[in-house]
Amino acid sequence: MDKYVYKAYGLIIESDFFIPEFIEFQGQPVVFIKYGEVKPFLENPDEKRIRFEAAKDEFLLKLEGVAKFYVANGNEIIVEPDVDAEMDDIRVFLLGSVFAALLQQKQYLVLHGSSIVVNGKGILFTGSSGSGKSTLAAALCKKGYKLLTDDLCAIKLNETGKPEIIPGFPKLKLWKDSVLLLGENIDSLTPIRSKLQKYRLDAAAVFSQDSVPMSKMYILCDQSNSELMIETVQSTDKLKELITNTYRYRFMKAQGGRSHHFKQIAAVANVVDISKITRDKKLTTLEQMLTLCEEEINTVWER
Amino acid sequence: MGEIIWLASYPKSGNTWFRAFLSNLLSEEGDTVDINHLETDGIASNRILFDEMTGIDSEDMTMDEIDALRPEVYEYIAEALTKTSFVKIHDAYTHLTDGRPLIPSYKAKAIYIVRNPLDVAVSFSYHNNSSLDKTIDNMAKDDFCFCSRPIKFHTQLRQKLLSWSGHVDSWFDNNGIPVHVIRYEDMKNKPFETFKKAVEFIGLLCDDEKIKNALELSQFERLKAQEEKTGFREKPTNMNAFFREGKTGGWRDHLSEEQVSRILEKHKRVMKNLGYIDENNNIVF
Repeated sequence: MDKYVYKAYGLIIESDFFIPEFIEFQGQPVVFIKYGEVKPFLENPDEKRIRFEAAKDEFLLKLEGVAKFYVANGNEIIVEPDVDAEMDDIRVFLLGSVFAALLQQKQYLVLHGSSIVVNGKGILFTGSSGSGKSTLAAALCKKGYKLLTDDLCAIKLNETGKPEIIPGFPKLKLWKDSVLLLGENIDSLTPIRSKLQKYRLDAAAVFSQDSVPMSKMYILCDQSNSELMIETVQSTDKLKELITNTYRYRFMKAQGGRSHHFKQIAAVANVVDISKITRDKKLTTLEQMLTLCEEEINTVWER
Repeated sequence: MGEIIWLASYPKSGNTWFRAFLSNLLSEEGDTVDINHLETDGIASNRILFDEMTGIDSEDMTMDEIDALRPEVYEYIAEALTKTSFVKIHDAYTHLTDGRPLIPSYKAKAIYIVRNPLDVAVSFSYHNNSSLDKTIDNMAKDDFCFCSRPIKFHTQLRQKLLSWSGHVDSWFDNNGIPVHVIRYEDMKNKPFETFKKAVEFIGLLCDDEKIKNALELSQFERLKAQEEKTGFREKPTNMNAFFREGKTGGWRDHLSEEQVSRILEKHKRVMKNLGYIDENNNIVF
């Protein structure tokens, strides 16, 4: 069987199947994505909910109509597709929750958000689903800033203990309304799944392949009736915000990463400024957001 | 051992008022409960809750895939409860394609709050900032849903409301969950008796004084005054005030004869059953 080799999140990955979202690469793989039989359950899960189970260095996700996924030791993902599964469906969940579990096992800090590079520094936009992270990142990329990650943001502490954002892969995931808002031609894009009006925007031309120091985090909040405003998150509230915006905090906790996670978010809180941008998505235009963000990120650089 | 008490209603039927009452009843403190911090437990269509329980990004799932997992999510929550949990729900009581009910019967009861659809139409049109005619059309649509436009992200999961009559029928005719029905008009006109019965159905042990006190603290005027002072986070954008008039029979000042007859035409049977139309075909409230 032909194998595919890629690089994503700083890892060389060998896969049994084609993953067009990732960048092809040559080298010695450290992560292996394989077809295979997935065990029905974990022996001693620390956390077991409706469709996932997690234990130290083990993770299981079962999705009817798509696949079963098993992740172990930060180096192996086994995929058992359902009979009528489409590859697109499998990849959407592989690149979401499943990869997040792998990165957590690798002891990366995984935050929920999209990040870009501004003058060599990493800026992360986080916030809950639908808060506009990807749309804003995409709009900034159109203005020439480089993309680091979309959706899952992997962070590692460097040898001096400072957080660095590791580039993910050069794609952005956007709903149809955002694609249209950005003025992209929808006909030239492929939906992430045939059943959804959500698309992958290619960002290969504006993708940063190098890790950069993380310097700023913005939390996007969509709140009914709110004016567009920006406020600094006080140091005492930073840890709470970092926990809230940790991707699938529960997986990580169950996979034995809790104390490590705390060290990581403390290191981030030490050097990263955090601000909250609140607005009502119905009242604030993307242009207004862009103007505010560009002003903001340029002051980050001046400081 | 806890159970889920579903606070079910078509929108704009008194659900928030009932939640304010419950919050004041359950609150340990003597002060009026803040409308922005009601002590009930959220809404069934909460997307974050779904994602937490399943470990999947619901935004990458189709609406039908999400619905197929919702019964398990609610069963899981019910199983884990240590005390009674009150959860708001606007979904109609529907069944999935495989026959399972969306809302499982396991450790669950429901309070169903219903309001004269003539008043609902007026309130709903203010709520959505849309015309009365469009609102009346929506209330007549058998497949009306919240959060179902497929081109964008929705903070909440899709909710199948059905038509106004369909919504009432779905909860009344369900074979799984015991339902206690409350009319908004009775909450208004004979509050003590109405709320006391609801409290008994839920199984809360409260003396009459406590109920009277909670009723006092959750009077419409008080909720409205709070909103004027601090705002209400559940108020949709483009709506002036969530707590608007809160009265019964207000439709007479807003609906044309033609609009009234369109509502009656579609919902007459259910309105009669609920006593909104009497035996002489007169509108009661």
